[in-house]
Amino acid sequence: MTRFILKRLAGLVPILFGISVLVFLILHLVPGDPVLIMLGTNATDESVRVLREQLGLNQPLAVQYGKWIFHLLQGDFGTSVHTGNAILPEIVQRFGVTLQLTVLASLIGWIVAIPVGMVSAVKSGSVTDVTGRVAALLGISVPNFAVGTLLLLVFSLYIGWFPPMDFVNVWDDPAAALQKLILPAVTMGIVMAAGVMRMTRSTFLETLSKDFIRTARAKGASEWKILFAHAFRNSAIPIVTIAGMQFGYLLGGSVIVEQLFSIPGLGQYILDGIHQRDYPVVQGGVLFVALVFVLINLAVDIVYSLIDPRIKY
Amino acid sequence: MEPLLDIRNLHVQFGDKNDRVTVVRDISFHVSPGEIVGIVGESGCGKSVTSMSILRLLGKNAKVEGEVLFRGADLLRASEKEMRKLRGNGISMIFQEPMTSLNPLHTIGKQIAEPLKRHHKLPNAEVKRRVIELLNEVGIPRAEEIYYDYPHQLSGGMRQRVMIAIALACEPELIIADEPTTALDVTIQAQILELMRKISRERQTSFLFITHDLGVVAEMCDRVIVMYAGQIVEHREVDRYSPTPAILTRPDCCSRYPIWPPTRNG
Ligand SMILES: Nc1ncnc2c1ncn2[C@@H]1O[C@H](COP(=O)(O)OP(=O)(O)OP(=O)(O)O)[C@@H](O)[C@H]1O
Ligand SMILES: [Mg+2]
Repeated sequence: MTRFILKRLAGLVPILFGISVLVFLILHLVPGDPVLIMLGTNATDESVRVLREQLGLNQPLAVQYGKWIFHLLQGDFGTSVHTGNAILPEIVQRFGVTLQLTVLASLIGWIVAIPVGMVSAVKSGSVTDVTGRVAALLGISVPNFAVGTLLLLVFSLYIGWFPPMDFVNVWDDPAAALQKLILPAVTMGIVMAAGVMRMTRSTFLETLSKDFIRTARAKGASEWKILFAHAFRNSAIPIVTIAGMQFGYLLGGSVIVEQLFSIPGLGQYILDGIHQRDYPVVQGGVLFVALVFVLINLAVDIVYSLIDPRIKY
Repeated sequence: MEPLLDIRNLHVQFGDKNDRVTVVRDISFHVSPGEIVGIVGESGCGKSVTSMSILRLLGKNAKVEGEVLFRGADLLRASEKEMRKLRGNGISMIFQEPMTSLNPLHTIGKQIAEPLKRHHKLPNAEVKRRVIELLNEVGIPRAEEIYYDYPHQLSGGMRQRVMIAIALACEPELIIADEPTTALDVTIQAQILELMRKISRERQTSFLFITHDLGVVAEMCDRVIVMYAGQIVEHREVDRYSPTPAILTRPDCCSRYPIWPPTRNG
């Protein structure tokens, strides 16, 4: 197991290298000059030249890339071209925000989706099942900016439960943080729930038709016992897969939801970086997100082996 | 002697009102205490459906009619709760596929312990002792280790022994074995059959033994029922002393009977 983890971690190196090259190239090949954006349209040729030199943008791409990686390997993500602030602390702090939102959204999504999916499978074809499936379909089809706007309108504006406020961390003021995060978390949770619910339903349907379920029934086990002691763990792997994927994906920052609910998360940070052609911010941000995503995938693989004794690494 | 299991005019249909197929039609037979009754017949003739309908293990789309009397009580009219008390306790089942009939994520010990815990509320230490005893009884070596193994670590023959241990756990009066050896190779098959014979001899357990292997019937059963297309077409004693029971030696024993297609809507 330890060997497996080490091997996977070693495997991260080429992946991250590839991603770094890709991000770097895309950013530098996209039209738009950060210097012009910073200085405005009436900058003199001279000042543009000076700033470009300062930022090292006049050097060949390969040299720029080499320097970036060289510093990165020492844990130095550089400073923002735009604000001059160090990037890594900002990313970590923003990631903390996104993490809180994602955890809450996932909890909401999964707590709804898994039981509903199970009931849908057990009572497949019933009114409950059809209702659940239609709801899931809606959840998948309706874009989250629409859901978010609707929630904002209804709960913030008309009912006034969640007045606009600044973001605070859960560990500083749990009540206020929850008040701020609940609407965006529900917005994201709905989309997550839809996917997880559909997966739960189809896997449980399959598991419940297996021979060993019949064996359990022949032993006199109650339906409750069959569902939880036998079907649950046997259905867990596909559900963990999709849940883990959604979780990792959302940790990259959900631009739309963060924007809509003005949450200073990672998505917004990277988006601002893109607008301002703030190369180091975008490069560092994307690389960080990629790292998180791959680590989540590793965690999911480890969970597999905890669920199923046949999976050995 | 009062029969242990008495099936009267059993009909089984699948499907909904508009599209109904009869797969078992008017079957009656009985199993006496300590007796091994065989059901033979070609694939698809309704052997498994008949056996599953006894413990009411068929899905919701099955319509079962008639009477299934166990110790005189009609199981088709029993409540679901009463049925759960009976399953694995008074009557247990062994299935054809040892490879898929065990839960892949539970240890062998846990799976054998399940009916014991369900039907006799024994303390844990007692349950474990009993499980080890059962493992020994069905001829599994290194019972203490196998107890903690998972099904994928065992061979097909070993898994079928585990299934038998599960079936035996609560000392049922009747074991329904649905082609318990079909998936196994010949030597293992002989061992498993011997094990079941031993159980029936030593515990006076009755068996309803389903197979499509006529040789197995000749070896195992006191009486045999031959099914064809959902009906009983022959019902006779197996004469153990005659080396070749007349009907069973004919490989085409079923094809003598006129084709009887399953009828729709009735
Ligand atoms: N759940 C079901 N729904 C509809 N038809 C079914 C169902 N289960 C069984 N049947 C049908 O009932 C008939 C009898 O099936 P059964 O499984 O009892 O055959 P069998 O005699 O056990 O055959 P085998 O030797 O292959 O196990 C088959 O034609 C089968 O297609
Ligand atoms: Mg069968």
